[in-house]
Amino acid sequence: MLIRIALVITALAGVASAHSAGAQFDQNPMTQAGNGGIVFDGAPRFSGHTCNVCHVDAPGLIHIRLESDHPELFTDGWKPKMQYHLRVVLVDEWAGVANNANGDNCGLRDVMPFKPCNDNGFALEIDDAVGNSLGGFTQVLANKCDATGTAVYILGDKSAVVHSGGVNGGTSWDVCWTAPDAGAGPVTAYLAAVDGNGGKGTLAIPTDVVGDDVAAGAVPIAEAGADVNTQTGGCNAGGDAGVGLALALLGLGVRFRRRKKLVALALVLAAASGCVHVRPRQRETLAKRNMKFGPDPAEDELDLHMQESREGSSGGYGSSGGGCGCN
Amino acid sequence: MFRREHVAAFSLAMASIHCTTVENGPIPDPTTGLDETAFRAKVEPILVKQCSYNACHGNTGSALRIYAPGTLRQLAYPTIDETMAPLTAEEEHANFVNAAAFSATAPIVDDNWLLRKPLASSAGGFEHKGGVIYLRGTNDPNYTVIYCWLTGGKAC
Repeated sequence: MLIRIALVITALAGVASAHSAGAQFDQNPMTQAGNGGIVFDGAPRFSGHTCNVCHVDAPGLIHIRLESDHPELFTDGWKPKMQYHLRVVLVDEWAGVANNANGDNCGLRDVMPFKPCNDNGFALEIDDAVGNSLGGFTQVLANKCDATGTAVYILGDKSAVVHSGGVNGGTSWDVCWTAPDAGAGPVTAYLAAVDGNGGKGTLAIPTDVVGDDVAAGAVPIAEAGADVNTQTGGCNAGGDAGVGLALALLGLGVRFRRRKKLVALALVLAAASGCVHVRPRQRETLAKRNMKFGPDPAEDELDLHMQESREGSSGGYGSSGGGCGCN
Repeated sequence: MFRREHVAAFSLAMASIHCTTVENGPIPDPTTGLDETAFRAKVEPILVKQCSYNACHGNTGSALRIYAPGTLRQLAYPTIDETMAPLTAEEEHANFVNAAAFSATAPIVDDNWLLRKPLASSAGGFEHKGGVIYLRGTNDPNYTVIYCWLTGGKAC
């Protein structure tokens, strides 16, 4: 299956992970040197912290990219309950690439001479506007969403997904994400990646947090069909009012044929009655002289004088004076 | 021209300025009243999980130094297995003393830096490089546990 690039992300800073196995993110910090469920993907629930809280002094040469089999996810937004095949890609990897030659059977303590790995990793979660993880992650097997896969590690509470650590030198990770029910609103994908250098390359220190690189970023994703304006009150109609009007006109044509003109007309009026949020760039047009009802006060005054002389009446336009003969 | 009265007043003022000896008496032990057992059971896991990372409090340059498996250890272990092993008794006691030390400068528990600094600025927090840690403010579960410990509660 072809995964199409949909949206890019960013480039930041970072290091090689001591968490070469994803399960360690779930393990007990006191007894197993785990993270207790913290994946440091930059999400608000982790105070925005990314992998560089451990992988220090990363030069920030790598990038990270999020792809989807449905690129419209990043343009039109997510559709309720739809399953997306996502791919997190580490771009411009440089640390530890020499260890790729050791294959996947690296880092084994009972195989001598010791073969260091090129441990890379990632973390991803998708949160709603208040920082709660949304939707559900599923493994990918043979390019299909399949719960029996092991390509990545899904946290015990299903809130995030990280690398499983089974592939040496991996720079992309696939996972399926099922969108939540309609109405959940815009979401944000938080993701981070580590370009590991394989520790000190020794049996004693097969992995560490120095000499690595880190990237992290966040991708906002709207809910498809939802009003993306974030108004806090007042008018609730947005830039999609025109679409509503077009749909209503289409309905009008159909309805006329069925001689239900009143219903169709009501549909048109309902669609046209919404107020529209004026964006800053549109205010320039509204500020033009010809957009005013009375662009020239002097001209208005002359017109008013002519009307008063012609009709023998005055007043009602805000001008002072009035009465017959008061010129 | 200065009058004699002015000169006298100036001389009197100068005479009243003199050096005094400041006695730096011993400060109270900040660990007094703080339960180390409760710390190890309830507070230390929070600090290790939330604060002990290399760029944060898991380094020797931090004012609040937190020893934790896999990050900062008292000894430079030669292997990763030793580095990731559970804390020693000495390290756990050091974590207790380090955390308790903030009580020396904050007689009022609410002003203890363990509590106040990682709060949102709107809740009184300030200048925490790691940002807001108590995401639910003073109602954050971690905040309430540490608050309870600092107030002497053993059943936190």
